[in-house]
Amino acid sequence: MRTLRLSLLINSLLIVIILSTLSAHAAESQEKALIYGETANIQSFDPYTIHDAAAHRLVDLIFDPLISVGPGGTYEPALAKSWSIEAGGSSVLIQLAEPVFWHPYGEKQIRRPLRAADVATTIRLITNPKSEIPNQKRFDIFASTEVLSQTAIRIRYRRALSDPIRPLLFKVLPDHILGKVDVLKRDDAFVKQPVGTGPYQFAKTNAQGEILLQANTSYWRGLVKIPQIVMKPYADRTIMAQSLMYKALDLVTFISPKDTNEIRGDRQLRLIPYDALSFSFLALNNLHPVLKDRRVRQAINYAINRKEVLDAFFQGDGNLISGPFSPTSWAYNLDVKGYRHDPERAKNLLQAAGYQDSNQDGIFENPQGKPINLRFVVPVAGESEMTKRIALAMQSYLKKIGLGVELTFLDWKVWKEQVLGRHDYEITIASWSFDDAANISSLFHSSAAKPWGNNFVLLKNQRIDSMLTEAESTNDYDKRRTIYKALHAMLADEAPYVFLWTLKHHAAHRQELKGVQVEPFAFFKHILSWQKARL
Amino acid sequence: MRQRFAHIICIGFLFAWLTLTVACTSLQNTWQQWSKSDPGTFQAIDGHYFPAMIHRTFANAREYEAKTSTLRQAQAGLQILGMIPLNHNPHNHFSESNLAWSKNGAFFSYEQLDQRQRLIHVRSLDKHFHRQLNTLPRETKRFLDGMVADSIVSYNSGLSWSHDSRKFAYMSNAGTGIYNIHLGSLDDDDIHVLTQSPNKDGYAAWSPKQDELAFVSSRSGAGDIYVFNLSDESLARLTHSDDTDLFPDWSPEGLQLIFSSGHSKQRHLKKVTKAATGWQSEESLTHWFGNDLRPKVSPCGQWVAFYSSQSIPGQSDVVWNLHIIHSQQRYGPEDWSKTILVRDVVVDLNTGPAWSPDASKIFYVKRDQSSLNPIEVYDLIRGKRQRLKTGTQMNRDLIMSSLGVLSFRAQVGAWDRVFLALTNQGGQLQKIPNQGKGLAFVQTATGVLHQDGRWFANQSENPSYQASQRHLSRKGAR
Repeated sequence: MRTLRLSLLINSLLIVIILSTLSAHAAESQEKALIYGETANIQSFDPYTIHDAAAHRLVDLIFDPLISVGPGGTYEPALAKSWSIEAGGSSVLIQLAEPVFWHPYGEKQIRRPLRAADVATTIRLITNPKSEIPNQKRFDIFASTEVLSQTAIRIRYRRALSDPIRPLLFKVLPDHILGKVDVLKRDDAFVKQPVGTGPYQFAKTNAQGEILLQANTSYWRGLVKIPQIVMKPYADRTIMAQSLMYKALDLVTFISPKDTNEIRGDRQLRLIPYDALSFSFLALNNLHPVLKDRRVRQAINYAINRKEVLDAFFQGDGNLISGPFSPTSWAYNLDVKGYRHDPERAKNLLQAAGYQDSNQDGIFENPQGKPINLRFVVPVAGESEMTKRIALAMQSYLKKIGLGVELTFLDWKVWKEQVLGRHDYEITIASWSFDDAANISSLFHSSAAKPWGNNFVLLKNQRIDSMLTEAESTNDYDKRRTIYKALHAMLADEAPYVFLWTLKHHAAHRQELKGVQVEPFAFFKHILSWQKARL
Repeated sequence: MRQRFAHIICIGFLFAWLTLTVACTSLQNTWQQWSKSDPGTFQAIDGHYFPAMIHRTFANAREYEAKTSTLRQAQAGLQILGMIPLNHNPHNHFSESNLAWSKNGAFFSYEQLDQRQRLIHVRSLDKHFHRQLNTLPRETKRFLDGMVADSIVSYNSGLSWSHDSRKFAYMSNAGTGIYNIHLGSLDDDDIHVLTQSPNKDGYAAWSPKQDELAFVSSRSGAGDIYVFNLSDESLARLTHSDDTDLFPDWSPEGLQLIFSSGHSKQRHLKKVTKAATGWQSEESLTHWFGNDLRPKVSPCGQWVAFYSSQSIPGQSDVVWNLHIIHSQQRYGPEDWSKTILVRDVVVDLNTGPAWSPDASKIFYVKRDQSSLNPIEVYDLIRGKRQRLKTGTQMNRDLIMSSLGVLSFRAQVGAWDRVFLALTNQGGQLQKIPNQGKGLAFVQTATGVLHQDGRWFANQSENPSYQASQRHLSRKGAR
């Protein structure tokens, strides 16, 4: 009897211990999951059919690139452990890293090794014009592939490139799943159930659009310290920021400028600035009867108080620019100071261009007495009110120097048709992403001044054309840098744009998250060193 | 010599007496002036619609009274009688926002974002009182502060007024990096820290009836609602779910709190009720696939206005609509479209939709592609929208005082400025219908919503609506 009682007691104790261990384990795993917020509903999880930044961030966790970008724009091995440039830059021989395994796939959850055929299949799919890939033209440079062994492949380009490694930053897709597929489509099963080689593997998504990723326990670069990642979508940025502040989230990838100060004032949170990798500008239609005069374009540049707008709407988190390059780029000419806010000088330039405020109504008229009234066409997308607010401030500055401006707000698609397709505007506001190679030919070369061309300000300047052509054709880095610095100065003087600013974005995370470092181009690149500690 | 000395003493005494008398009279005058300016007791009668402080603030208020001889005329329609910017200095390089009125409409607060610090101004409407709240750490500054690490700047926001309009509570990090609820009063300069938690406390909401403060805290997880009783210094946790609970708003009797609760894209309205035995567990008010934000309880306590999101097929962006529900009913997916007042509005999380004091109208900002965020008003009795001619652009932060002063912020150049617009919608002019109980039904964009939960799509089927229309047409004819 005593033995039985003892046995029952031991069993009960064991059950209690096991149950408490299980519950502790569950609580711990909950605590160890990284929960982050985005304001996007991500529905595809492959690297190519997606188009928004939030999806690219998520995909960075699932897929690896062939080669990645390191500090200072240098190239680092990723799935390619080494490479050699051949035939003067017209082909590259790649040696793949080993051992690298794909995430488990199929009923048997088999992990297949990475092979050269995976790279060949990826290039075949991304160069197929029928694949549903935004901005697919960037892959046109690939001519062919030659699989040399299971881990070696030669990639040939259509022409010799001055930087033949740059096209190899693409993410690699699995041949064992997509080998028999001709095109990549947004409704493919693979897009909804992706298989990559990255540090996390896709687990599931739910009706609210939350996505669960599990750590890849066979990751070739080492094991991540956070076993799960949960992405939660939000409809409002402020609610997302509040969720971070009240501990519902560990990380938010983008904090709205109006919320940065509240987060900055909280010791339990850390704000991480990162470059926006784009610049904003006012585009001036260079063929418009009023704006074709460079003095008028310069007057507009002097009229705008860019510093005030940057302070008022972005808490000063950004840099004013004087040309189309990132201030940290090798192509940026620091000697070009740009236009300081000077309304009097702006008025003098308008007078020099033949305009007068004859009737003293505050608006300049042309020699025939017709007042200047420019159409400012503003694209409006979604809930964001920022573009509206900036346009309103711009209108106010231009009115102060005597330029009448009529604001017209257009839906994004209508704006593209009207501005890019028909050039039916006088002033508009837009932004470009910085090009890694600082290639600005498509923005300012007269050959691109055509419907749907990127030179939608219709700048036609032979000297700028010849300099752009020369810069693009040379493989001499120093020569290219010299040309670009001269181009920077010329463009500032020619003033086809009002170059505004490049912004500093902010991510934020709770202090429980340690080792966080983000890269603008690859947000989760350093995820291996991240960990979640109990505070 | 002695005689001259006595003479000097006498003159001295006389001077002291005179000074004291003048000082006392002046103090008495100030006090009388202050008492007169108390709008709590002001009753509008024919030809007199506003208390003295309104006359001192809006130059044309007296002119309006002179030309509008009867109370009935003053009550007619919605009229903007005057509009002024809060501050007249165009060279201020900071934005103003988030105005909050005291219950009696005599005082208000607004926030100023200056460089990286956010401070609160507390003012009386007639400018007799002005105080700046920029709470800083109590301890003295250390030698290396700000040199070896980023110094944390003072961030103060979200002021809520007490029921007697003399005290206030707000969120502040006090320059220390820890957000707590702070308390202040118009009667002295002292600021007390109410909550001493290392976790974030915010969204202070003072009960409209007693010294109870609701707030949101992260001390227990992902944001729960607590109530601190200032009388017995007791603290009660009201919500216990894993969801983040935000924007608590009191019912006018101080017996209910309505708030937005949820996670990621799904947030619903919930309420907690105070019974004789204490606070009851939370109950859902809305339960549909949407995101319900910033509930505002009507001054009569019957209705709740809020924003709810609507997904657009094929688009990643959502549209936000203005909704209304009754505070004692529960609404499911089939009720979502029935409760819409206005489609496609600007979501304003600072102040939410603004009720008129008689609870018959809601002010909001319309999102309009062709214009720059105009202010509109929705008449719940007539079911009609009206755009206000304020001449301002990119409007936000709408809130109306009990005296009918509509405050809002609008963009001027690159900065946001607060404006005050005097209307004829104050509680002294317009009374809450149904003997103070509020509207028995409201006209939504799609039909008529009753307080008992019934809804009629077709107005001809709705006897109450027909009766009300007959009443309105008779009123219009008069």
